[in-house]
Amino acid sequence: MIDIVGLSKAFSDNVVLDDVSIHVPEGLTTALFGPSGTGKSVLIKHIIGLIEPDRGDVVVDGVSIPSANNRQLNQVRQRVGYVFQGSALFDSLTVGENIQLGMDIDGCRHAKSECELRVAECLNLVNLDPQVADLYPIELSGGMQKRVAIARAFSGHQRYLLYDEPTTGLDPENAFIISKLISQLQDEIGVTSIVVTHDLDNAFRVADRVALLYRAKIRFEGTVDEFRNSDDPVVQKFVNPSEETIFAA
Amino acid sequence: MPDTVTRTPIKPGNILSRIPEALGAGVVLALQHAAGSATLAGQFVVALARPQRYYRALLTQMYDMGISSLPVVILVAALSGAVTSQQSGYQFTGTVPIWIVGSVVAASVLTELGPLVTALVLVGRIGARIGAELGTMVVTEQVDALRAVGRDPVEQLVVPRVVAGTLMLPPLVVVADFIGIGAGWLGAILTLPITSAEFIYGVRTYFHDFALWFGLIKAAVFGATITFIGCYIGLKASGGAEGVGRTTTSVVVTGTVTIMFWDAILARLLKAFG
Repeated sequence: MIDIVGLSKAFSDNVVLDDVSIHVPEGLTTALFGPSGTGKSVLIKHIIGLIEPDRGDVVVDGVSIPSANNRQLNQVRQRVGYVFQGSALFDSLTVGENIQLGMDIDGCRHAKSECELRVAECLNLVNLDPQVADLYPIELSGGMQKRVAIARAFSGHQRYLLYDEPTTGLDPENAFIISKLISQLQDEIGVTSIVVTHDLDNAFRVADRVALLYRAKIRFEGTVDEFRNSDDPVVQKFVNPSEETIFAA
Repeated sequence: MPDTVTRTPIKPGNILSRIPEALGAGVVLALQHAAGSATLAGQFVVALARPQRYYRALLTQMYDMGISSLPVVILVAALSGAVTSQQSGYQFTGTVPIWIVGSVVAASVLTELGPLVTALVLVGRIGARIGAELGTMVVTEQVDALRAVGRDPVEQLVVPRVVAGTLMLPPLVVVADFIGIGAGWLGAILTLPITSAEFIYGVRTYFHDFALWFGLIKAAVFGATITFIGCYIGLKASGGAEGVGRTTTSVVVTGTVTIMFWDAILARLLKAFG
């Protein structure tokens, strides 16, 4: 279970998050939606302790992340897979070695063949040929790199997956493939996911719930249908963008 | 209504009144870097105790820093030795016994040129590379990705580089010493009125074990310094390609100045102990 409670974060005078609270229900996909540059990535980086909050708390499986020690933090990080916006694959490692990084730290030294089998299984789940494991990230297209990043995120049987703008920079076909993959993983391995996006089509395609981050606060939190039918002018500005709704907001 | 920007004119008095503010900011920045370096050094010591986690990366780094640096180290050491013997030879001819050239070459190469020139070359070759490599990893979120999978970036990135630098600089300096003295001998016998026996007599007259050991200690200190600065500044990178460019420049400038600073301090120690 992930709970974000009263989270605030500012960089110098720029307040990015102001008393933000979100409850992420178990086994569902929550789309964290909002315009570019509103602090969505900053928010989910708090979940694995990559950024420390100014105030508030993030609780993952009962562990308070801001006050966790290194051991607790690393244990939480092994349960949470993170797909970075730019994939963040290690250039000097092969695809297979990148995926193994998501697994148990010392496990792969003792059971190499098991790890290789798991790499092939993960590649299969993201619709990539197992032979891709021997290639380097630079030899892959942007869409393939994104799929490898997703495979790395769940390779250690993580319970939670955090996707940071998974379809940004991809052509419509690859964006659709990635969205479909997120839904498929949700169905097949039953993880709890948070998908950060400013692409509403992607949010509606993959999410059970939507949270709208707007001007440093959570403006809306609810199901996809509730979001679509909300009469909040700010929500309407995103659902039906037109001159009328934008100026009304 | 269009947006407007109001500009405040700069008065001459404003610039002078900003000096204390700028000095204060400089002091604060220096203290921040001192605290940041101390923190990284502490994390380095803690991570050092888990060699099973970084030994593979350490071997790769040792190869990159040691074997791959040999050609440039040999070239620069040879040129330094040859130039030293010729310059000293021209100045000493007719004033002091010519075998002194051998002593000057041995003293210069073993205590200064070997470690210092090798270190300065490696600030550019290794320090800049580490800064650019880690800087790129920071701006492309690879360092965050390491943390996200529960790995310690200090253990995975900093420890192998700093340990490799500390271990590989001394052997490189030994090679530089041999090549420097050898090139000094060759340059001397080809261009000066000196025989091989006279040159070797000069080298033996100067040579004492401590000079060699001191050069090696200096090399280890320089190796640790170059790689630590590369890692510290690299991990502080921000701002995309331009930021990585600034990081590389900063590593070379800071590394060069710090090496010269260490050289001045260690020279005093040589005098005290030697």
